[in-house]
Amino acid sequence: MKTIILLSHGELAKGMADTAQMIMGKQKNLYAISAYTEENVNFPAMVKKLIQSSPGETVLVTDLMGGSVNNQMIELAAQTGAHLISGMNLTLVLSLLNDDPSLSTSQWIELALSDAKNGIVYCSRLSQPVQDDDF
Amino acid sequence: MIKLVRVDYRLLHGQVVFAWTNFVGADCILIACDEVAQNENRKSALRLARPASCKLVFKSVAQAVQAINSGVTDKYKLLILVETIGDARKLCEGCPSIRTVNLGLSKQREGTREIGKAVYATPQEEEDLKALSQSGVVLEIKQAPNDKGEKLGD
Repeated sequence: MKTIILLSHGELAKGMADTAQMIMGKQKNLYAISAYTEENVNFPAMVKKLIQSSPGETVLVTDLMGGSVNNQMIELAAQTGAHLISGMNLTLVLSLLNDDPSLSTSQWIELALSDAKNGIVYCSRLSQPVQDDDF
Repeated sequence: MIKLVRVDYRLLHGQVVFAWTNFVGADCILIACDEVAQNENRKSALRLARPASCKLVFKSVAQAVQAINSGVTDKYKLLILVETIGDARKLCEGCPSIRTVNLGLSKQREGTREIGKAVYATPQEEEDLKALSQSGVVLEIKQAPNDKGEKLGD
């Protein structure tokens, strides 16, 4: 089972984990670290510990490409072999929570990324599809 | 084959799209609802939620029963969504091959009583559930696939 760790400035990660579990039910392998808040002064150390005690591979998901949270994780990911993804959104997290052991971790991540990007839609501008599906 | 019949007043939404669809491995979702079947606005909103891996078919409850009984749905791993307990009863009475119904989300309204987590039923709906139970349909209250779940006795 893969370990998934959400990381953000402030509370985004915790909120994301809360919402994801409202939809998917409680997830044992999902962790959330809200960095730069009172309790999480040395979050890289916390993350390293989680990676080391993970039964399977670890996927780190950060809030922002170029942000300090992501930057601090780059070296840790390289050292430990954890997979690092920036730009978390709910679709990405939900897709990651649906593990697929038949795929390699990178393939599975690529699919999740594709879902995540396709989930960002300017709904008001969608035109009506011509035909509904039928059996 | 029918993989899941779920009562959910929100029909196709996050929990169903991400948790249930994957859990049962569905490749086709059938929304059996008289109102939706002829309401373009509701259909548009629901189409947005369609998971990429699934067909999404809208039918009235009667048309759904007909389609299922005709065998055209056999080749799909089908997830059926109904809006209400009453519709679930109509579906099951029309298709005796359905042996389990997942509850699901049933809205709290005036005159309803909470019969399980997120499941509120009017006296008529409690009758409907009793009838389903007596005909041998297993009723399970479960929000997410990995929740513990609770079988509803009669």
